[in-house]
Amino acid sequence: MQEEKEKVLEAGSFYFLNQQFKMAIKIYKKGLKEYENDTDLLFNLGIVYESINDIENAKDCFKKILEKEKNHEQAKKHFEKIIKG
Amino acid sequence: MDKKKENVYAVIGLGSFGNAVASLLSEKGIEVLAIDADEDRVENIVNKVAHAVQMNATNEQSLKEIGMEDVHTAIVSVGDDIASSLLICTYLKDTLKIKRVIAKATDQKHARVLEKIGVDRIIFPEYESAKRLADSLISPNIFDMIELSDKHNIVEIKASSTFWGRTLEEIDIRKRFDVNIIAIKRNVPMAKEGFTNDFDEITIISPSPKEQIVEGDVLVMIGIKEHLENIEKI
Repeated sequence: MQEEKEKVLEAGSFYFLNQQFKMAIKIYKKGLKEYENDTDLLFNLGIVYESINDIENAKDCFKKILEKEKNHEQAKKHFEKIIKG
Repeated sequence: MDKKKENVYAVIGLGSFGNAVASLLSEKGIEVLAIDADEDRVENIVNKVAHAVQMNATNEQSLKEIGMEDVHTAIVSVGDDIASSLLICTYLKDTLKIKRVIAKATDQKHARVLEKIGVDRIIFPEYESAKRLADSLISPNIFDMIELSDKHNIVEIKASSTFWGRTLEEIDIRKRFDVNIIAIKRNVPMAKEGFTNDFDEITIISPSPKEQIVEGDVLVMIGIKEHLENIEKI
């Protein structure tokens, strides 16, 4: 199970690093269907959205993480940065 | 305080706006003299600025006594109390000869009188932030805008998808829209341990014509307002 999730994270990061953002988003969204509200997948997806300035979707991802883990420091940092504009 | 040193500022009126201005100036190394009649407001800022004084700034003699004559720039943010605002600005300009006086106005009438007194800059913080919010809601692709003059702006705008994968030379913005790209803000993807995504925020100043636009780029452009509006429509 964990191994499968690692593969999704690896594939998503591969596309993200190669600036193939749509593919990265597709991979993470597919992963989230399997591992619903998984914070690692949501975080990486949020970062992809934020990096391409898709602020609303990025905000949704970080918000979902904080609903699940209110002390997720990285998600909190990015969420606050977005809110403050 | 040394006579009229350029980095000596006074902030009179420590409501939320005055408090924020005084704190931010102080963070940037400015020697700030913060003044308010309210003890709590002075208490709130005492550890953030060089000098904090509780006094009624409508008293001309008191202003002299605390060394206001040495101040280079004074910011008057007692906007809600128009009579006090006008009185203080008159003292600062006429009696104390403060080089630069900036005052917060509540409405146009207030602004007109401040102008007559000789205030150097009049600001409407609520209006300015409301305008910024309205602009960002109407044009969500505009990230920031600086008004350079009545005719010219600098805008930060999200690069249209029609630009992705093309060089500045190919897009030829200067010829097509008569505006110049002075910088590109870009988030460069990177991965940390365990396939955790992150990005570096970089700014490419004076980008070369061979620079390729990528998805998510923010273009910093300078030009005539109408020309910049044409780009927003793409």
